[in-house]
Amino acid sequence: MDIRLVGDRIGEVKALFVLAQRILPFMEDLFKFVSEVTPILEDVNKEIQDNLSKMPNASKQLAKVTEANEMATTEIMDTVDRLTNELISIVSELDKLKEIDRNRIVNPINLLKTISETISKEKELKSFLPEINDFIDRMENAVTNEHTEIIDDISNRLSAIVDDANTIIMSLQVQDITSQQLAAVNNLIEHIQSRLAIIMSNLTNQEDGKRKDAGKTKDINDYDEKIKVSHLHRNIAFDPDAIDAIDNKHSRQNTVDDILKRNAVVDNSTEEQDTESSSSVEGNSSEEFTQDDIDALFGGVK
Amino acid sequence: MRFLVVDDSPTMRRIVINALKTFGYLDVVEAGDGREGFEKLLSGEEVDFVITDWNMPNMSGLELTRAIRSHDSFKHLPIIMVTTRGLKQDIIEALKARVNNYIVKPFTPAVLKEKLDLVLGQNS
Repeated sequence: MDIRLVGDRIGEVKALFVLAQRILPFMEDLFKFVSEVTPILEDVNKEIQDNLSKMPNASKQLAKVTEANEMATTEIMDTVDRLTNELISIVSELDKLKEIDRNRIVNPINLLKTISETISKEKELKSFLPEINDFIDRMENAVTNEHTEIIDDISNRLSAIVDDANTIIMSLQVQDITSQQLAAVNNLIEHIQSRLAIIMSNLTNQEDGKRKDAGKTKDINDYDEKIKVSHLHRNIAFDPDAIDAIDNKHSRQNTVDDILKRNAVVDNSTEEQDTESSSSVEGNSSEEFTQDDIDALFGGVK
Repeated sequence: MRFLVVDDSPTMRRIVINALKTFGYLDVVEAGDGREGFEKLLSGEEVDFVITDWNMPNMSGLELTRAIRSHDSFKHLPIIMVTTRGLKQDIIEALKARVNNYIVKPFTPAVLKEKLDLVLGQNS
C-alpha cells in the first residue's frame, strides 16, 4: 500500500474529526431548538384544527345574518307596500270626496243662481236678492277655495309620503349589495378552510411517512373566469367588489349627468353597438366605470 | 308591454318591479336566474322587454343575453343589464353581448325610467 495514500486518508479522517468537533456545539443548539419548537408547533397544529372546526360555524353564522337581513328587508317592503297601497286608496277617496262635494254644493249653487235670476225679475221679491247673492258667494267661496285647498293639501302630503315610501324601497338595494359582500366573505372562509384542511392532511400524512396530496381545491385565481357563487341560506352569486357600488354611488350619478350632456350624438342601432363601441374603450380594463361613462358608451341622451 | 325581470335576489326583483309599477308597467314576469328566465321565454311566455342582473347562479345575465341574441325568436328583445359590476372590462363584455343599456346598482327610479325610455325610443 502506498504510505503516502494512507497519510492522506488519515489527514482526511482528522479533518472530519475537527469538523465534527466544530459542528457539535451547533448540532447541540439545533437539537435544543427543535425540542423547544416542537411544543410550539403542536400548539399551532392544535390552533389550526380548532380554527378549522370553527370555520363551518362562521359560515353558518354568515348564512343566518344574510337570511335575517333578507327577511327583515322583505318585512320592510311588505309594510311599505301596505302603507303605499293605503295612501293611494286615501288619495283616490279624497278625489271622490271632491267630486261628491262638487255635486252636493255646486248643484244647489246653480239652483240658487237660477232662483236669483228669476227673483230679479219680480219686483216684490227683489228685497231677498242681496241675502241670496251673499249666500251664493259664501257657498262658492267655500267650495272653490277653503274646501278644495284643504283636500288638495292633504293629497299633496299623501303623495309626498308615497314618494318617501318608494325611496325607502329603492334604498333597500343595499341589502342585495351587503348580501353579495357577505357571500364573498363566506367564499373566502370556505377557501381558507379548504386550504388549511390540505395543510393539516399533508402534515398528518408526513408524520405517517406517506405524504401525498389531500384532494384538490380550487385555486383562488381560477375563480375569476366564472360567476362566483356562495352557498349561504340560498346560492348567492356575488361580485366581490360589490361594496364599491355603495361607496361611489353619489359620484357615479353626478358624473352621469355631465357626460350625458356632452354625448348628444347617438348610435341607436343595437346591432352596430357590438365591437365598434367596445373597441373605442379599450385600455385599462380593470378601471372602474361610472354611470356617466356607461351612458357615454351606450350613447345615452337625456 | 310585458317585462321579464331576472335577478337571483328577491329583494332586487321586487325593487325593479315596484319601480316599473310606478311607471305604469304592471305586467311583469320574474325569474330567479338566467336559466329560469330563458326557459320562460322558450316555454312561450310572451315578453317585450328584459331587465336582467349579471351575477346569478346557473346562468348569468351575460349568458342569458348571449342566449337571447342567438335565438331567432328573441334576438331583437330589448335588454337592460342592472348590476353592481362597474369595471370597464364588464361594460365591454356587456356591449359585445349586445345589451341595449347598462345600469349600475344602486340605481334611482329616475335612472331606470331614463334608460327604459331611451331603449324604447330606439326600438320604436
